[in-house]
This record gives sequence, structure tokens and C-alpha cells, in this order.
Amino acid sequence: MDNLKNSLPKIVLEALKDEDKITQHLVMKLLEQVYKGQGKSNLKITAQKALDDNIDAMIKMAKERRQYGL
Amino acid sequence: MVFKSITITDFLSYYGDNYIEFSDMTTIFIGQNNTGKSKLFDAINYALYGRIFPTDKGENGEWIYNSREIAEFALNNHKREESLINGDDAVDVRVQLDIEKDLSLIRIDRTISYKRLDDAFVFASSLLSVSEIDKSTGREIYSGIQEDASDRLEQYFSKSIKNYFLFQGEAASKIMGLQKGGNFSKAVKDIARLSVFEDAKEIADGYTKHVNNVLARKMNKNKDVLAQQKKYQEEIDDLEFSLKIHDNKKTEAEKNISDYSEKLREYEDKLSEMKEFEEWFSKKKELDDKVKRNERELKDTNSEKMEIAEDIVFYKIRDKIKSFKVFYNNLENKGEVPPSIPAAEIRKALEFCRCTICNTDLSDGTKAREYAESRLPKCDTDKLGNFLREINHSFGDELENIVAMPKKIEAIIERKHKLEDKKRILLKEKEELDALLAQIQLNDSESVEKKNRIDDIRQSIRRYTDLLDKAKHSFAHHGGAIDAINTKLQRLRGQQSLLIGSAPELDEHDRIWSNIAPKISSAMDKLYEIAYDRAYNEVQRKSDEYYQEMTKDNAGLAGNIRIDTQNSEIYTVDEQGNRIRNVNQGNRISIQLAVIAGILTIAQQQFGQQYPFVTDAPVSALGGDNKISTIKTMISAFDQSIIIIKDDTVTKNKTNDEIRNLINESKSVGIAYELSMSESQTKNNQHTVVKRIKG
Repeated sequence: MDNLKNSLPKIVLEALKDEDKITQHLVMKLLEQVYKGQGKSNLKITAQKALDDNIDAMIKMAKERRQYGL
Repeated sequence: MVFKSITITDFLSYYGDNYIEFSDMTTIFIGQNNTGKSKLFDAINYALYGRIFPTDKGENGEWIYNSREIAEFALNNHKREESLINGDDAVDVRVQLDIEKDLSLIRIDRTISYKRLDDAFVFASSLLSVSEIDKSTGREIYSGIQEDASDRLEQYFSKSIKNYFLFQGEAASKIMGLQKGGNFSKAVKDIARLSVFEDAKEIADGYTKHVNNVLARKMNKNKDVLAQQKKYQEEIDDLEFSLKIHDNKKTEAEKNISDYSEKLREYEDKLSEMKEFEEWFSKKKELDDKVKRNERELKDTNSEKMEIAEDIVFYKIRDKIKSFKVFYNNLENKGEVPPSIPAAEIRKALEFCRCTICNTDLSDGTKAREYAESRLPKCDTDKLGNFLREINHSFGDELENIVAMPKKIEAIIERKHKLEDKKRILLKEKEELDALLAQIQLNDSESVEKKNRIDDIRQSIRRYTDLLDKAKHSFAHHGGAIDAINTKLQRLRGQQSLLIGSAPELDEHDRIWSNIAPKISSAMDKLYEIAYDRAYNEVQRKSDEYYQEMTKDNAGLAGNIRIDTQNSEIYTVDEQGNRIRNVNQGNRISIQLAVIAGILTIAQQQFGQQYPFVTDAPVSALGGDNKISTIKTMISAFDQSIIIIKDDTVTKNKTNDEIRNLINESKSVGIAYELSMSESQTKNNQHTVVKRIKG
């Protein structure tokens, strides 16, 4: 397996140590999408969609947490 | 990935079918000059990429990709002669490379077909075919030709890597883009997959814009917010526009800094080449000046001495006159000589018939007049008396000087002697220097020419220093402007984000969205910077590790590898971090090999794929012990390496014996071949003979 993927979390943590969890999570998602989609013409759309989907998921999670007092 | 074998048929110096098997570890080819070593390298390059580098042109060569051009020299001479004699209508040359990759076996087959035209064979067509079969089942996974096959090959071998596992020592820089300003740093970026971060950054920026657009549409109902948003956006657009301009100017300044620095380095190098002459020249000038000064001083002393000598003569005469005057006065007092009355006085007295001094009557017929008339002819003596009086009066003050004269003369003579000694020494020094200057063959016209050249170089250095200063100033100026604009942009975007957040039409999702998007953009910026630094540091560290290993037995090649990412340049630095200049070809090749090994190691890590290392004649230029340690480093750095080395057996070279020992003794060297030229009578019949000497 490609080492880039393995070393990603470390680089991301280093670069984003001051950022919030959501940003960190989304950056990771975006990188994964780009990495997976390398060479594909619809890369931008795929990556954008991944971010949208993830934000939706994060918001849903945040709402649930609030709803259940977590 | 492992290269299993190559079959070369009637290609370049290889006549007939030549099946050459490669070891999974190290395969070494040795051969003397013109035995087909580089042709083997060409065959591998041709098979993989359909290209050939004219290595005989060294760094001046360019890759040849055009099949028609390659066909002009690809057909083996022996084969051509034979086919002409046989009356064949067509003939083919072919290179077939078998590769094992993961679970597949890949065969690359390239053929150039010729057709007969009168007494020659001309290019007819070329064909590339690629096939891939599953190793375990034997089932064909892929089979294709021409462009489709070419695309398939691109998937096996990344574009970025393709220049790096085929190393040609004599033309390494050009082939690999290692020369200053070459594509090497771009390749490192590609190999380290920095493009992932670049793409991600671009997408994140696009995403931010997309989010803003969507939100702007949503806010359409809220006119005030929209108007404010529009205002912000206009400001942002303006700032982004000027950011772009400053960025361009900064890039231009950066390029200028690099160009002018390089120019300055070139001129400084040129100047340092002239350093010896310049030192001689300035020393000579200094000495010439000294001699001239000395000569001037001597001349001054001589003239001073001359003046004094004249004075002495004068004073001696004066003394004589003085003593004569005393003598005359005595005679005068005794009345033995007439009184010193000037002739003019006597004439005057005779005219007025009365003495102007004693009032004696001098009328005609008086005795006094008779006496006076008799004295008149003797007045010359009287004149002398007057003259002596005048002299006495004039020089009375000089008496002290006259007394001091001998001492003064003594001091002057001493000074003269000293100066003469000094002159002797200086003339001797000048003579010695002239002899030395003659030794370094500096005649006047050459000196003038060299001096003019130095003046030109200095002038150019001044010019480029000025230009460099301006470029640096421009770089700093635009950099400052960019920082200021970025700060403003950040502030504006923050305000924009707050504004969007305050828009009543937006829901929580939108607010989070608008908040997060710019964060992702800026995070990607940071990430790219970090990844970039990491990639270069890692390549540099690894390269230096290899370099130390290669040169451990050669104290003359001390230093550490540095990769200058700004100028895309590779060199070594000493312990103080100063760039080591004047590296010879052997050293340069060591540096390049180390960097190649470094890049390949990183590529292997990033792609999760081992690459074979194929190298043609890299070590011929390396000296003594360095040669063996370099080969050993290559063997240990790569899982599979194919090393083509010049055979120096004829010279009974110690190092060469060591290479043969290495072939015989090293367990890593699985297979070795000796290449030679067949002993045919005519050059056209000669061809490479491949003899397996190990494995």
C-alpha cells in the first residue's frame, strides 16, 4: 500500500494542530478523495461532494449530540 | 518490479538474436570501449520509452523519440550488409523486454521495419506491443499495441520516475534534468506526490468559492447583506487581482535573483580563474611603483648633492677671494697698491676736477690730476676689490651654513648610499618577479588582454550586483505587498464570513459551511508547505547518506549534499556550510548518483514499488577506491541493479581487478557478462559478443 496514505495523518496533525476537529477531519477526507481520484477528470466534483457529504454528516452528528445532551 | 531479460535483435551493435537474462539482484556488464555497452543501455531505453539518447554528444545531446530518426541508425550494419547480399526486400530490428511486476509478467516488444529501396533499407513502420499475463494462472490480463500500449506503459512507470532509474554517467545532468534550473525539483515534487497536496489545495480554494457562490445566491433576499457582501467581494477581487500582479512581479524578481546570482557566480568563477594573474599583476604593479619611487628619490638626492657640490666649489672660491682681499688690503694699507677707488669715481672726479671723496683739487695741470689719470687704467683691480666687498656682504650670512656644510654633505651621502642599497634590493626583486612572470608566460600583450578581461569581468560583476540588489529589493517589496494584501484579505474574508453568518436566511448548515470552507483552504496551504519541506529534506538526507557511503574511502570527496530548491541545483557544502566549488567529473557523478539513489528511495517508499536501477558507465570517471564503494552502495541501495562498467583489464588496473573480484565474490552479483567485439575483418561485419562470465 502507498506510503503517502500512511503518512498523511502525521503530516495533517502536524500542520493542523491548531485547527478544530471538523477542519482536521475534512482536510483528511479531501486528501483521501484527491489521492483516490488522481488522474480522474471529475476529481474536483468528487472531492467537493465528499466535503459536502462530510459536512452534512458532521452537522447531523453535532445536532444529535446536542439533542441527547452529549 | 524486476527486469527479467532483454532480447535484442539486429539492433545497433547487436547482430542476430541476443537473449540476455538479468539477475533479480545485481547484474554487471563489463566491456572495453566500443563493445556495445551504451548500446545495451540504448536498447533498454528504447524498449521502455521508445527513445534513445545520443550519449556520444554528452550533455549537448537531446532525447530522440522519433521512430523514423531512430531507424536511421538502429539497423545493425552486419545485418544490413547480409540482407542486401541475400536480396531481402524487408528487414526488422527488435527489442523485447520482459518484466516481472507484482503478480504479473509484462512483455514490451518494439520493432522497427525497413523496406528495401535500391541499395539501401529505409524506414517502413514501427510497432509497439505490450502484453501482461497473470503469473499464477497464465491468463492474459492485457494486450495492446501502439498508443494504447504506450498508455499502459505510462501506468507501469510513472512519468516522474522514468528519468531516474536509467542513469547514464556521461550525460547524467541533461538526461535527468539535474543541471541547474532543470526539471529535477519538479520531479522530486512529483515523486514525493506533492501533486496530491497541490490538487487538494486547488480543490479547497475552488470549494471556498463554490460555498461563497451558493451562499450568495441564498442571501439574495437580504439586499443589505448582499450589497455589503458584494462590496466585500469586489474588494476581495481587487485585492486578489493586485495579489496576482505582485505575485507575478515577485516570481519575476525571484527568477531574476536566481539568474543574476548565477551570472554573478559565473563571473566570480571566471574572476577566480584569473586570480593568480591578478595577484601577479598587482604585485608587479606595486613593485614597479616602488622602483619608480626609489628612482625618483635617488634622482632628487643626486640633484641635491650636485647643488651642494656646486656650493662647495663656490665657497672655496669665495674663501680664496677673501684671503686675496685680506692680502690686498694689507698691500693697500702699506701703500703698495693703490686705494680701492672705483674707475667710475675717478672718471667722475676728473670730469668735475675735484675728488668726490676728499675734495682734492684735480684741475688741469695739478699733480693730483696727473696721479689720478695714471691710476685710471689700474681700476680693474679696484673693481675686484668692490666685487669682493659685495660678495663678502652677500655671503656673510652664509657663514654658518658653510660651517655646517661638511656634516650636511655627510648625511646626504649616507642617505644616498641607503637609497642606492634600497634600489639594488628593489631591482633585484623586480628581476626575480620578472623571471616569475616570464615563467607563467605573461608577455605584455597577453597581460594587457588579461587585464582588460579582468576589468570587463569586474564591470559585469558590478552590473549584476546592482541588478541583483534591485531584484532583491523588488522581491522584498512585492513580498511585503503580498503579505500586506494577504492580511487584508484575511480580515475581509473574516468580515465576509461574519456577514454571511449573520444573514437571517441562512441555516446552521450554511453557517458552519461558510466558516469551515476558508479554514480548509488555509489548512491546505500549511499542509503543502510542510509536505514540500519534508520531501526535500528527506531526499537530501537520503542522498547525503548514500554520498557519505560512496565516498567514505576517499577523503578528497568530503562534504555534504545540498539541494537548493529555489535554484533547482545540487551541490556539496563543507563543514561551515560553504559551497564546495571546482568539483571534478568523478565527484560530480558521485553527487548525481547519490541524489538519484536518494530520489529512487523516496519514489520506492511513495509508490510502494521497487525499481531496478540501470546505469551505464557511471563509474568510469570515478577514481580508485571511490569506484568500488560506489558500486557497492548501488548494489545495497537497490533491490535490483544493472550496472554497465568499462573494462580496464588491458591496463592491468588495480581497481578493475577489484571489480572482477567483486563480480566473483559478491553474493549480490547474481549474473555478470563480458561484452566484446567480434573479430571480423571489416567494420561492417563487427558486432557485440555477449559472454556470460558469472551465474
